[in-house]
Amino acid sequence: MPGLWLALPPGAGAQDRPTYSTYGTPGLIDMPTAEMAPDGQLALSSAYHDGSLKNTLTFQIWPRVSGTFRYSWFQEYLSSGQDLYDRSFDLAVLLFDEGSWTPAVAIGLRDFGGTGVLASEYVVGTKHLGRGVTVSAGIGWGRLGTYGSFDNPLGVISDAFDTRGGFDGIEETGQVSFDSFFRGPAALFGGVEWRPNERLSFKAEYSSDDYETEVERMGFERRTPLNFAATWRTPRGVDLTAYALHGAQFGMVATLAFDPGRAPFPSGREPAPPPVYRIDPASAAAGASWGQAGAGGRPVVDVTLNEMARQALDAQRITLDFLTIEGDAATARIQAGAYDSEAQAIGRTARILTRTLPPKIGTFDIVLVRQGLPLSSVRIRRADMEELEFAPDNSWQSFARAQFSDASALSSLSAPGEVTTYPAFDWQLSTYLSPSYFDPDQPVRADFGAQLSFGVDLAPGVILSTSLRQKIVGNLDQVERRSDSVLPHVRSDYALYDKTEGLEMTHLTGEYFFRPGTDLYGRMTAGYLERMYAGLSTELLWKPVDSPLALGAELNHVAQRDYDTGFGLLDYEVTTGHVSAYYDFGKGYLGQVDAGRYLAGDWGATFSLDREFGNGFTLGAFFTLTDVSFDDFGEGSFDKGIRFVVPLSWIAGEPSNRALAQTIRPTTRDGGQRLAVRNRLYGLVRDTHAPEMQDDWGRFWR
Amino acid sequence: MMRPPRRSGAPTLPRLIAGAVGLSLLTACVPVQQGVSRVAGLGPSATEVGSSTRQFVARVEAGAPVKIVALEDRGGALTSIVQMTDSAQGGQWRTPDNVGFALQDGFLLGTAALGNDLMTADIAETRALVLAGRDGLAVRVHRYLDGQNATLIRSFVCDVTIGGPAPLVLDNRSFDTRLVTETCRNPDLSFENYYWIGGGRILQSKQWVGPQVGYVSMREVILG
Repeated sequence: MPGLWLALPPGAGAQDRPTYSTYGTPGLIDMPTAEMAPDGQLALSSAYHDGSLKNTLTFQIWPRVSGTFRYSWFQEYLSSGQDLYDRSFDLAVLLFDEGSWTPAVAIGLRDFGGTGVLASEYVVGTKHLGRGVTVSAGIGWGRLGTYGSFDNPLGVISDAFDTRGGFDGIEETGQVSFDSFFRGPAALFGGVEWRPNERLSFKAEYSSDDYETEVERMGFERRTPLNFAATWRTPRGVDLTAYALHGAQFGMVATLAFDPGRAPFPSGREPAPPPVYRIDPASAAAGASWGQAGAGGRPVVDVTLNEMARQALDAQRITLDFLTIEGDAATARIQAGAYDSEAQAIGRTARILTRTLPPKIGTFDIVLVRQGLPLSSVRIRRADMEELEFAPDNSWQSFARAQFSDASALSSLSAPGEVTTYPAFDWQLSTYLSPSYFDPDQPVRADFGAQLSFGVDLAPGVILSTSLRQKIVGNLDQVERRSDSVLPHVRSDYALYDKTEGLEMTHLTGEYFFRPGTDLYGRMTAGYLERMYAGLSTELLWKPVDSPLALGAELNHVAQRDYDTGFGLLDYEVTTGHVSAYYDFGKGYLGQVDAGRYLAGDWGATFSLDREFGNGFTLGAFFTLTDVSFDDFGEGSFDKGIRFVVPLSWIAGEPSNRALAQTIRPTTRDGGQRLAVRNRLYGLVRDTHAPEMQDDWGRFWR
Repeated sequence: MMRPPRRSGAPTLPRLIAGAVGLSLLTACVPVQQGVSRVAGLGPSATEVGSSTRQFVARVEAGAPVKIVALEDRGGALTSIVQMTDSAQGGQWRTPDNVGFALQDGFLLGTAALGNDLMTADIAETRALVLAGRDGLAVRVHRYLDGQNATLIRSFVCDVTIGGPAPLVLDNRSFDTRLVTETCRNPDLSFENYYWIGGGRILQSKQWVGPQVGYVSMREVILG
């Protein structure tokens, strides 16, 4: 994606942004500092020296907390002489801000849940001295307590701090090693950074890492405890660093740091919206005879009017399903179509309605529909559109005047005023890319192919659809490793599914979406639900339109599909289901807990936290704990991963519902695995509700 | 976050003195093919342009007012805008390829489809001074979208100076105008707008859209 980075505007306050260490986190060279990146910053980093490569993703989750995922390669690191591919997670927390005289203080855990080869803990202080000079000093444990070490000062609290558990082999990996944090010998480290201008940085550090295993097995030379580095920050915000490690090794780091909250084209490049039509008093009087809007409270359907509105909305790439008029109010059911911002789709619809409906219609109820489900209703007054079109504060004022309400009353399967005719067919031919990571034999693999999707809406909310894939080129089928799982192989046989050379049916389903009542949403899906499972899936969601809280329940009975992803089934069947709680904490932080029974029949819960930027760019992490023991689970000990969504509109600056979405798991095993059914309700519903719509209401007038 | 605008030199608008463009536009009703957004590498697809071009032509044929505009920081290419709606609060103008400009008596209120649009502008104080022909200070407030669809507010204090007579020739006709300069600043940004005022209205102007888009120049098309 290099083109994307070039499109981003240069970073603000380049001098404020810390430089990064070989660990891909703000720091010196190998040693950490107490510096934090600006909130929300995402840094991708690669550090290489002979026999060692660290690829790191660091995200500033909160202003005071950063999280890191790292994938490293160490040549001939294992005692068997084999290379080690290592996944590790870090966490750093800023405890105290820097004061006039006091340093910033941070505490951190490196590699707290991986194989432990980089495992260390530290407390570090950092002080800016002026003239671009910054000094840091700290105390480290684990790997950071291996050179110049002394007895753990925490030993005064408890003798347990005096000894540290070791690396117990690959089966133990993935457990959070509470029994070794801050234990064993400790050592002091420190260093200084000088940044003469916003483009350059020079660093020197005294390292408390003695590289014992590397010296022993990899031929690493360690002549001094001192490391040096020089960094050049390019105008586009890429840091290029050269470093000298322990007087013998030279290495390079490239770090790209950016803020997903910034966008190359913030207001988008799509065409201007249609102007608001202003009623002039003369035509308003004449318009009283135009359109025989309903007397006696019965909705009236005007075929000509509906056709005009449909065509005008089509030109805006918005689909009108339904338009009725009752008294002086019109109800328009729309699909936001190309717009990933629902607020923008509502704004454009309201503009079109001022232009197509007779002047006496003063109120527009715009109902957002997805999968035939009416999700929310937004009431906009025509007078407000006229009054606020040029008002300086029109964004806030129009949000304050819009009324959000539940749309369940409009859920009847078919109604007068329908513009869409059923059955409605839709198909799409596209390409797909399916990557796979972290196989020690070949860390990145991928398949590329063509995908044909076909769907038919039999009635609102009743959808038959299928998707077929044909691999064109790829090497996923070359995975040699076979699952050694002692659990039912509910996911770990993915390599067998990847052997399919012929046509693959990724899904073939009938779906029914419905509104059982106010604030309630329902889904039933039957058929070949996903690549590995077929059966029946049912879901119910409670989500008031203005509430940050949602609750859901899902019950499924499924059978595992045959490896050729045709119509055949294996003889594994399971009933699986969850109750879920979703909470929007505001400022883009979304939490989710799912508790229930997983595919292998194990019981437990999944905890997720996502940070969604206002433009849809999302980063999140999750982990699942179930009654499967860490031993039975195997490598990794429990299921966990990170995920991200990069909306195409963020890159291209034009409205689009397409996005690059990816979940990355360090290992795929059989414990804590959920069914991957399509169109879970919360994802369909949330964007159209008030808390989410408030976030992007700035696009209402765009 | 925002870069200061490029300093511009004397407020001459040589690119805008292109009466032939306006004349051919009005006599033959052929819209200027090279739109602002096309030149900028932005803008809508061909089919959408087709329908917006038809709308543009229809408005021109109906006798709606037309202006010639140029985005100076995007190569200065010329295009034209036609008035779609009008009211006391402002009116909407569109190019043939559906780039939007919101204007009130010729003062820029907003843009649409430039990628970094000016969403709204509060120009009431500037407008009062300029139209009254009085020197003075005015507060101007611009609103943009940030990368997360939130509103970004930029306020400026502006010094409005009424200059001396500045004869202006548009479409081979001379006008007695005065050049009004509006110098705006805030701690991070500064820009200068120019208005040529004749007969109590803006005949020609150069106005700042924002840090990324830069300046837009506009002039009236004189009929007859």
